[in-house]
Amino acid sequence: MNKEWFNLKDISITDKLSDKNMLYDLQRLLDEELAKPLEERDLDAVKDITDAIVGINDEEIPKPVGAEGILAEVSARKKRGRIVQLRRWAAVISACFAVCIALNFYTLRTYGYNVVETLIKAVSSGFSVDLAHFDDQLPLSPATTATTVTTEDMQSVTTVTVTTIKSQSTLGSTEAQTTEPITTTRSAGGSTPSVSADPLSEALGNSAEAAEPVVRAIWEASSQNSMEVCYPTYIPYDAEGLELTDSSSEQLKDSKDLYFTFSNGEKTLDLIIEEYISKDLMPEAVIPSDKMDYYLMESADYNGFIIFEDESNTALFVYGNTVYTLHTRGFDRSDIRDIAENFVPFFTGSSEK
Amino acid sequence: MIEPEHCTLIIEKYYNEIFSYCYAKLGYSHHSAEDCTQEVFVVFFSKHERLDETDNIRLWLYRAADNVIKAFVRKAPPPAVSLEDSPEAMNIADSGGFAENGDSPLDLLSSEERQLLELYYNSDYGQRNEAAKRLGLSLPALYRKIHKLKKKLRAAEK
Repeated sequence: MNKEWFNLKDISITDKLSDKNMLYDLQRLLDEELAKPLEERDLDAVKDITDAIVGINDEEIPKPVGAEGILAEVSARKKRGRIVQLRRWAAVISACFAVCIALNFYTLRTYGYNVVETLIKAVSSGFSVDLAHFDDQLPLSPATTATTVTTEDMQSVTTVTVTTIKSQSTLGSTEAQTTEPITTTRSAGGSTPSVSADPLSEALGNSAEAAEPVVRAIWEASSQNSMEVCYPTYIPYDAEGLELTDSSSEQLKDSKDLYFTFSNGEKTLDLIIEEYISKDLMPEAVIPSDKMDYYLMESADYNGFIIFEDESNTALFVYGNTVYTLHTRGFDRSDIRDIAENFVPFFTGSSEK
Repeated sequence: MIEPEHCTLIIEKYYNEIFSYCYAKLGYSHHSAEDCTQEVFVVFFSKHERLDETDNIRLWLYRAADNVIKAFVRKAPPPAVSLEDSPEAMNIADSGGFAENGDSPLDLLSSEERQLLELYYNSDYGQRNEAAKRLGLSLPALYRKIHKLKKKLRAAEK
């Protein structure tokens, strides 16, 4: 008996194939289970098998990462994802497939420019926008009537609607007032700003009540990063209660960037501000959008456009050397238009008309 | 919508299970499995607002794991591992056997444990499966027991 067990002992300890055989059997069982559609798999059996595989390999299962760590990663990815979603710089894309197509047919005769051809190119993934020349070539404060154009020759989409609508800002103004753009003094691009003693107080005085948390957050972040930026004087009253839920800043080689997310639970507003060292360094931007339905903004001091989509809208405008990307969710189309068209710089301290 | 606190509980509940699953599907690579497991829970957290308490979270995590593993393998295919050729992948200890000193470590085993070992070594796959059923065990559970017994013997040798 003793001899018999001794043989067994030797077998059990020295045969290298023993564990391999077990793993082979387990892998076979697992493959059988995984061959079934996911809904039909016996997850308890899968767990049983995989636990055994881990055990036979003498693996120690690592401690779970804390929820905080994962949440931080989720948050970082959301932020990165938003940026990628909102703005895909065309350094790569333009080299690959930014083919100017289709929109040449449309000329904004009012301006005498083929704006779309010059600045906004339809690419297979959305819009390609030449930000560096955006400000120069679009005339400011266009006095246009609504225009709708439908293409018949688009490669990537079937319909393009270009709409310029008279502003309906509700900054306590009548319609007659709102057709006049808010006048501000441009501080970027070389002019000398007139610095107010207390720009924040003045900005808050100029702004709608609902805009206060946004103005404060922008002021604080821009002051910390020595940036001269604009703030929105208008946020619709029904967006009251917006709170800063996420913010960060980055100092890049060519730019300083600020990121903000505000939310009141129902409405979310993301704002990205990129202050470039020079206009020449502004990259071309691609706005990925299946629906090429956009609106050319009306502002006395800056040019931009808004992409309308089903659930969210994105405004992109350039003020001096600074690019603003505004992304809203839960806001009406008119809201983002009114918000985006009413940015003024802190250091001019005024939104007087 | 699942509350963040509930998410923490879900991580604690399913982390090991998902790690084991990833490990088994990724050629027994600890680090790859760890990376993928973390990724599964990052995906889970980033989408948990869209899930409901009544959703089959476990199934959802397995589906996410399948997707993460596919993406992982596409990006960085794990080196082809043969179970027979790679001791590293197998991570199997080789004790080299006992000294013939007359004192058998097998004496440490209970008779039930000895029978299990005997059963394992004296049967083929089908027989083991049947035997496991007779013992009220799954085959993986039987193998885990066998593995533990072998570890016990190896430890005794040292």
